[in-house]
Amino acid sequence: MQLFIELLFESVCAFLATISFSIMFITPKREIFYCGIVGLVGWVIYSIAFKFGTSSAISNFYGALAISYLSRFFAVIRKTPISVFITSGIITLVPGGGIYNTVLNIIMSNNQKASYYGIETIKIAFAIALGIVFVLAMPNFMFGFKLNYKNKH
Amino acid sequence: MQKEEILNFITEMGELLLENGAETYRVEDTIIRIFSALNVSDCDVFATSTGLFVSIDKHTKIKRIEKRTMNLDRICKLNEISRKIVSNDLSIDEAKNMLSEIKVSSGYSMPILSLSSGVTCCFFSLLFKGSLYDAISAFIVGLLWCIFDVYIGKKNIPNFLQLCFGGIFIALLSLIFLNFGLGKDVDNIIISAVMPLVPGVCFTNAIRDIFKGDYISGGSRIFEAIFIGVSISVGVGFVLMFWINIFGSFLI
Repeated sequence: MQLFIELLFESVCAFLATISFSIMFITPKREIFYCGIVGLVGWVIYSIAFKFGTSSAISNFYGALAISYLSRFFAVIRKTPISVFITSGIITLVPGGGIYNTVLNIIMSNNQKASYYGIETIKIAFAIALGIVFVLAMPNFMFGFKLNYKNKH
Repeated sequence: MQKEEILNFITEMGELLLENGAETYRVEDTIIRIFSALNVSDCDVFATSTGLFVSIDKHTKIKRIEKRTMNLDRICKLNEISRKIVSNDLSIDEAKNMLSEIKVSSGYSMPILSLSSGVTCCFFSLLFKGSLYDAISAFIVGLLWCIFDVYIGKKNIPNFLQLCFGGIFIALLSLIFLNFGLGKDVDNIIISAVMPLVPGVCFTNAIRDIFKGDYISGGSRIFEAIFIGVSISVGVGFVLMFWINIFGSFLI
């Protein structure tokens, strides 16, 4: 129950954060809601994976998978470039904290901690990259629509 | 239709796409599609994130892309235009008018942008397990940063310095808020306030370019992302270092 409430709270936050972030990129009004959904699902998947003890890089990988799959899905049904959804959706996973901790520890001359956080950040970045690439490599028919490539472009 | 006219139209379109943050493969793809829809033969296009080369027969046009921002609304509209041209619903002359309309279209107004920046920071703060006070100060820092960034963007200073100043501004403001008792966890405030600056977009675009086999623009975008990250870190780190050296700890 505790977990459920926590997840609910987090998903509301992720949803609103992604929506307001997408406004900063001047996303068209009719797509803003879908951007929020993408961000929400990405974070929830990441969060569930992380809470059940998956390492942070792998959880980010799952999150990125979900985000890019959903972005591609929305890109097809909304006939909009995939960038609209993926750019604002991925923001919930970007390792801002990791970068910050790396810099902070470099300044404090905690080299061991700094390299730990640095490597962790790089791992997360690679995990996100892999997640995106995996989904982009999927053939079109996996998105369940008869639309040909011309329509999706 | 004259080849030169088509060339002008196409380069303008490609330039707009690149300036507003489209990935290079989308630019090339769009242009090739329009070419084939207009039955132009012997044409080619090469786009990188900093330049665009289009040629038809003996005519070639080169465009240097100086300023790159993110404007998804324009990309959507341009995508719409190219789709209509490909399906023959739109003539080139009409499309030209639409292009000039898109060029002057402004996005959301400044108050909405700064507010959304603040709201983003606020909810990221809550998402990263900050307290309500942290969220409030992240909101104010994010809002003020957006105004500051627009102000400093008009000064025509290098990108590195702009980001650096952004980092300095955020870190300084967060530390001040912490010392005024608004917010308990300075790490949380800074991390969430930095979120709108973080090069997530650059990074995803880079990966997608590399995935499509466009290593030049993908590589340059990766460097851009690293560079943005470093610039922000330098700014934030600078403030934190001085603060710790002078006052000994975050809290005075």
